Amino acid sequence: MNRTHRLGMVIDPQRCIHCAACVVACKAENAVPQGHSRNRLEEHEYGAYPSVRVVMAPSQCMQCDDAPCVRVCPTGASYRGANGVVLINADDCIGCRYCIEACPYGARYFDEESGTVDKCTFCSQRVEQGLEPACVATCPTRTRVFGDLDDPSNTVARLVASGRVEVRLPDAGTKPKVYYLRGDV
Amino acid sequence: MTHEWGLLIVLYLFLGGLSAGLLAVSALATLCGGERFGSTARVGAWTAPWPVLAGTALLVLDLGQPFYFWKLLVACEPRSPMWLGTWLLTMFTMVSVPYAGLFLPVSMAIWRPEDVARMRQRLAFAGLPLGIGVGIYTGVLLGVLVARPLWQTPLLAQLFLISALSSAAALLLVLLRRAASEREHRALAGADAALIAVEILVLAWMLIDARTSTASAKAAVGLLTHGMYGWVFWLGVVGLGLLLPLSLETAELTAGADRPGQTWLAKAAPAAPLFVLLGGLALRWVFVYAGQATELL
Repeated sequence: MNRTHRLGMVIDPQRCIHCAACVVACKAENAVPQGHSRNRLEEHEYGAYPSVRVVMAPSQCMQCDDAPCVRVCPTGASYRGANGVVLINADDCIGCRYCIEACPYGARYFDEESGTVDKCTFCSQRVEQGLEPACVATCPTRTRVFGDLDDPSNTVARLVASGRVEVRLPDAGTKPKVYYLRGDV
Repeated sequence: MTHEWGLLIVLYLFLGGLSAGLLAVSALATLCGGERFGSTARVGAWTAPWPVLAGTALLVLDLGQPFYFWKLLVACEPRSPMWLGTWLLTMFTMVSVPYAGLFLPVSMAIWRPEDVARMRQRLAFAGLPLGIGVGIYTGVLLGVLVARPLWQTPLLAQLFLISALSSAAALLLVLLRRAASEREHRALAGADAALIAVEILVLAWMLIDARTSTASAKAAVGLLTHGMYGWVFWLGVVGLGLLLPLSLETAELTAGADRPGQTWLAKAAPAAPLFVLLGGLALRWVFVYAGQATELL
């Protein structure tokens, strides 16, 4: 990629069938250590019996524009890299785990073997080659759409502009770049 | 939610607060107490640097990469409370160690007594804000995290600061059991009782504040006051750590000179500082652990 992008993702919970292919694909692509995961499936329950609704949706690092993990990192190991993706420089990470405490989405984990913190990178190694992140590419129901939020012709940008999307914990002021399609509109 | 921070962090917060309080109390005694509070100033100065150094060692041990702790010092991340705290602790140590040295008899052999007194005054002048600053920092470290509703209130820093000062007064009461004059002892016990009373008020405000706040804060404080954490909070922190020592110290202070130590409460008074220290540790344990079990809703 030559020019800079603002990479983002839109997730459509209505399409998710909870197959966990994204979780498996992520683990395989990024060699995520046992006992940890960079993405997960969440179940949200709305209302009470008999008018109850369960929505399942994948969750992961929200790639926040105003990321608390980056702000609290005492060594600068957590940073916002090219394309607005939040990354960790493992060489500078001392494993204090302050960023894990700071993340309201529980997106980060401590890798006991390396003694450092890790998380979703939007598969930057794949994106560099012009590929989509593993979770996006593997999803059988096209629950996830990935692309440049600054490119008006991109599906992601069009979905965000449509006003049909929401973000998780908007009051936290983190400005996530992973959006969720609202089911009620 | 996982508990990434454990006992080592609890101990670090307790020991950091203890050092902060000791330096602040000793500096206050040096600046305002003069000769009358000589023992408090001296023993406070001698003990202040060490707990936080031990705590920092525990903190380094807790790192995933303990041998790379120096990266904290070569980085420049003024937005990170932990980075700021690292430098605050460094400055604290740079003041508290020479300040302790000035209370060693050898200082008197090197310099003239009036020069030593002047140097003590100057370092105490720097030590008082540094002590209070470190006390506040131990609360701010947790208090800035939006992701943890139990911690995310400015009252947490106040609570930790008051608790740090109270713990320091309590430790000095133990160490000065024999050395201090009756007047000094009563002043320390009175200060500790007053600090405990303030701490109870700050805790009460925290509970009231959270109960009238967001759903996240309500759920978080519910976790603190109910269930397993509730036992530690009400019994350990409030009961044994605050109300019991407050009663004992009040009984001792109001016993009167004509019939000292007549009531059983006054007889048990020497145990009060130990309960204060235990309560300070329990306070940090319950906040660190319960805080990590809470999440933003």
